[in-house]
Amino acid sequence: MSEQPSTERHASPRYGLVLIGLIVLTAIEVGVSYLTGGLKIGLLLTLAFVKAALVVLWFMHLKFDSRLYAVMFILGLVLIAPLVIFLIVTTP
Amino acid sequence: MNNELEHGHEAYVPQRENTKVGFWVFLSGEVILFGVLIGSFLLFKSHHADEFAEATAGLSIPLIALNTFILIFSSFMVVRALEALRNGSLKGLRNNLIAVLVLGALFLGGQAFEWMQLYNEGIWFDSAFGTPFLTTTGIHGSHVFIGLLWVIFILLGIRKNAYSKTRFHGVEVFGLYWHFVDVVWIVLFTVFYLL
Repeated sequence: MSEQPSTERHASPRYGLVLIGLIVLTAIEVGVSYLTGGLKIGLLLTLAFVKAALVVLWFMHLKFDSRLYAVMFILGLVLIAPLVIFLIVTTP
Repeated sequence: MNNELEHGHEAYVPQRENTKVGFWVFLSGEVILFGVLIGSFLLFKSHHADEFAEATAGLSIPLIALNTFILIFSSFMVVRALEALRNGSLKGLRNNLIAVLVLGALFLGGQAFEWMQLYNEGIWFDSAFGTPFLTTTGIHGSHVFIGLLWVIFILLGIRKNAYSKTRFHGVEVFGLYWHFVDVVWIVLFTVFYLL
C-alpha cells in the first residue's frame, strides 16, 4: 500500500462530552417514553434528531469535513424524510 | 497535471477523496434503504394498531436501552481508535478496535436474546408486527455483523503494517460506516421502541 498524504487536522473536539450527551439524552428518551400524547412524539423525535446530529456532526466529522459530504448525506434525507414524517404524523 | 503524472503518489490524493465521496454516496443510499424500511414499519403499524400495541408492550425497553448505550459507546471507541492512529499509536488503534469488537458482539447478543423472546411469544416473520420489525432490525443487525468483520480485517491489517499515522483513511471510512450504523439505531430505538 502506498503512503497516503495526511490531511489537515482540526483541533480534536471533546468527544467525551459528546458521548456523555448521547447517554444523557438516551436516558431522557426512556423517561419521555412513559408520557402520552403529542408532546411525547414531539419530544422523542426532537431528542432522536439531536442525538443523530451529534453523531453525524462530531463522530462522523461532518462539521469539519467538506460540505460536499454533507450535501451527499442530506440528499438521501431530503428524498426519504417527507415519507417518514408523513407516516409518523398520521400513524395512530 | 503533468506534475501529477510524473509523481504518481500525488495523483493518489484525488483518488483518496473520491473514495470518501463515494462512501458518502453509499451512505446516502443507505439512508433511503432504512427510510423505506422505517416507512414500511409505520405503514404496517397504521393498519394493525392493536397488534402493534400488544407486541411493543412486550418489548424490554431496559434491555434495548442497554443495547443502545453499548452501540453508542462502541462509536466512541471507534473515534478513539482513529484518534490513536492519527497520533501514531497502533497499540491504541488495536485496543480500541478490540473494544469495538466486544461491544458489537454484545449488541448482537442482546438482539439475538430479544428475537428469541419474540419467537417464544409467537411473534415471527409471519405476523404483521414481526414482518417489518424483524426485517428492519435484522438488516441493521447484519450491518453490525459486517462492521465486525471489517474490524477483524483492520486488526489483521495492523499486523501487516497496513496503517500508520499517515495511512489512516481505511480506518476513517470504516468509522463513517460504524457511526452511520449507530445513527440508524438511534432512529430505530426511538421509532420502533419508544413512540
